[in-house]
Amino acid sequence: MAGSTLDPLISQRTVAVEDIGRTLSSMWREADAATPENPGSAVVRARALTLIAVGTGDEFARMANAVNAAVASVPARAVLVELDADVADGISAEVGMNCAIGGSAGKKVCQESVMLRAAHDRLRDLPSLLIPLAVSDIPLVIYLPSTRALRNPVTTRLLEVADVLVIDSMGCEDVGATFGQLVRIQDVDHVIVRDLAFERLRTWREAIASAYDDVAGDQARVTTVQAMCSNNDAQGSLLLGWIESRFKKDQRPFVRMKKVIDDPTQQGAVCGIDLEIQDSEKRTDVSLRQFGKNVLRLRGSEHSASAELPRALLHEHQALTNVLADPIRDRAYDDALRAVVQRYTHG
Amino acid sequence: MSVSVLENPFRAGLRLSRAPDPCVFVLFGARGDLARRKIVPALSSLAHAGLLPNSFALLGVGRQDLSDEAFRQELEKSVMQASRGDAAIGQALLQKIHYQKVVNEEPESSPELEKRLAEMDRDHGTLGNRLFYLSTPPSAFFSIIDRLKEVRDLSRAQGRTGNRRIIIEKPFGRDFDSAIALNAKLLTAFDEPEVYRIDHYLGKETVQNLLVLRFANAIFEPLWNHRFIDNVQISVAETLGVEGRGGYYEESGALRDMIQNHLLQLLCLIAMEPPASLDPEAIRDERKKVLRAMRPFTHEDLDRRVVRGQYGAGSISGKRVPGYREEESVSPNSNTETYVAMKLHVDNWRWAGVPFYLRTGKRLPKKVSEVAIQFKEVPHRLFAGGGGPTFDTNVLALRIQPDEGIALKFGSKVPGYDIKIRPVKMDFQYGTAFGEHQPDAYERLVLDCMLGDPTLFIRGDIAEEAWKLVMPILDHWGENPPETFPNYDAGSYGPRSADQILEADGREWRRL
Repeated sequence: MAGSTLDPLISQRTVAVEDIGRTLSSMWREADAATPENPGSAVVRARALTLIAVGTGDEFARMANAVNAAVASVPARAVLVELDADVADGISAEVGMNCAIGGSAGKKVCQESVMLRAAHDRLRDLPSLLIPLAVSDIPLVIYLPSTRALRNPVTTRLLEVADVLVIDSMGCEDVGATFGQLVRIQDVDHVIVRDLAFERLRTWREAIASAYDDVAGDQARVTTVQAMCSNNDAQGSLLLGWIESRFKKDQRPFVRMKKVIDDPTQQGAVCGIDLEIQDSEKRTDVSLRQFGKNVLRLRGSEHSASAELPRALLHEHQALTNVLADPIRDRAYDDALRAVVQRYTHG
Repeated sequence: MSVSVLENPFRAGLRLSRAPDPCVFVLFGARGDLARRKIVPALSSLAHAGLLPNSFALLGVGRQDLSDEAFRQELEKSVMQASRGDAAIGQALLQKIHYQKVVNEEPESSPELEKRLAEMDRDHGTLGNRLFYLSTPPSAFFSIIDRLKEVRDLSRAQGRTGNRRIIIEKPFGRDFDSAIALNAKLLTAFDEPEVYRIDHYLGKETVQNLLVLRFANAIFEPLWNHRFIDNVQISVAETLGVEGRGGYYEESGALRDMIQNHLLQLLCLIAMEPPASLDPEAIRDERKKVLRAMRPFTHEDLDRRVVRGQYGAGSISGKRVPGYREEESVSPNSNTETYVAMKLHVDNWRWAGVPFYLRTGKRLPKKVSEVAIQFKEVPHRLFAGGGGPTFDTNVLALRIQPDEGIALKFGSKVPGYDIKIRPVKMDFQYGTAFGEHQPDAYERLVLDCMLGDPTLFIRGDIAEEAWKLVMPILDHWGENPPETFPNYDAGSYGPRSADQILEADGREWRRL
């Protein structure tokens, strides 16, 4: 189903909240009936995980778009939750089924989609609806498109049963406190934490790793690093933390953060990095830039001509897809997160 | 299955624990069908995934005069389609593609090729590393290897260093003696660890998943032996005929083309013991042990254990198709087999008494490749007494194509007041369980070679062992031409005599 889009086989329909589970069960029988052109074997149920995505009004549409794009590649029972919604009955529920043609036999591969909207005064009731929707024996992933919902009681309750928390910390203002909370979620709640702010950097991390390969000497190390960030330093801190944590303490580079662009649409995004890789024989300067430039430049390398490649940071849905495809602990992220927390704690 | 040591601290958590070395990919047979359909798209797809080294170039080699630009135009479609709509990446790769005329039989070609490669090192920063891919007919192998030896010697004389690898397409010889001769020839120009004999079946996800299924899950391995398994059936059925390759097929036939490599390698993965580690040689050693444990064919049992067939005219998917002897470039009296079925035994502790049935054929009704593990019946048939319901045995079917996946058949009670048992299937399909892009087999194998990981390639001694096993069949058939060819209709499941191999054991082929 890679690269495919999902089309509704059974459109979202409003159901009583107590009927969500029953409706999901009955939908599969309807799905077979809805494909009379190939009866019997046409519809295949696909779900590699249960994904509960929780967001508030202004971020909900963006979150829903990212989830819909991601589950087209990683099949899931997707539950989208809008907090603090304007709902007359307190909580509303819609259930539907989306499909794509999948597999080499061209079967219709379908997955369930649930949308819940809850008014502020009914939030405490939400977990009792959400927790039973988690399918047994496959990972339960909670996705928060920002750090705002991290302290919400709904999130707290969900984290008691979740396997993985996927968060996007890019816009977070208080990096030290928020990242400290993420470390506690890992250590105390034993939930795997993945951060889209870090996952978006995958192309840059690969570019930096390739540059390091090109230097390749035994004694190669990064001597200085400067990251540039827009507005706040969430993503830049992760990038610096990642570079720092790759080396033993006595070999760690000198790192510096610079806030350079005041662009509200790119809140918290890293917009550039310069680093210097040095081995006993040569020095290579690596520069990465985004916002319209998207290039990797290597200077001092023997092969600078071949090293210019487009290296855009990943989009939100690409980063989410990557994480959902492999929802396991990412040691590189854990190390980066802890390095940032340590820097904030100890200066 | 990559086995590298983590040398680059930045690679932790990334897709590859190390990057492929910079290299020039030298593609012999660059204007051929395989290059255009499989190899170049595999490189383009790797580029799209960011898995090619920054310092990379492709040098297409052919007998004709052609400019770099004209060659790029020939490949543009293959490159752009596989780069999945990312024009910038496709264009970047196209600019790294070059062409060199080489007449394989002419020693004068060697200095020109060496000079061109040195220029490419300078232009692309490829550090003298070469990956040679022989996508040519086997008749060209020896002269190409001569040229590559001369290129190596010239490079060394110039003081140039760098790693060298060669990928060679099957067939690896056409019999035991020629396989030994080919291996010996390869070793004049390369060391064995530099030789990558490619069997694209080993690059398929389900085939790679065999090791994971067996050795990463606790539930299968305890059952994976003669106490629980009744027999194993490996089937590779094709609907296609020879598709314009009659000349090639006349020289090979199904035994050489499919059994000696693809099916025997599948059998090895099914039957091998757990390797001590994922070290490539540990895995390949275990595969070789299986081949060495196979019961040899004798003149006495050969006709009972092996059946050959050739298709006559018939229908496939509602269309009339000609018989093999009416195909282009095929002799009207051809005795080449298009179908083979056989029974094999792995004579060791684990597999004592478990037959392995292999079959492959062209112009069969369905295109299916699968391995079916047929389990034994329960020791006491509780539900079979007094004319009660029966259930045939459990089957674990590993589908290699189409619809790669795994299915387990088991008995279940039919809802109702009485006890009726019906077989049901638990079905796992790669295309639905994992939505991600599945790399094509060539993509995976080319990357493995660039990384220096030979796990999924055939070692020289393994190719020789496989030939050793099938030689008595080839000799016997050579001495006894078939009397009844063609003996199955296109669109049927093969000759009746293939069924009799199993019927003699009280079994039958699985319906594909």
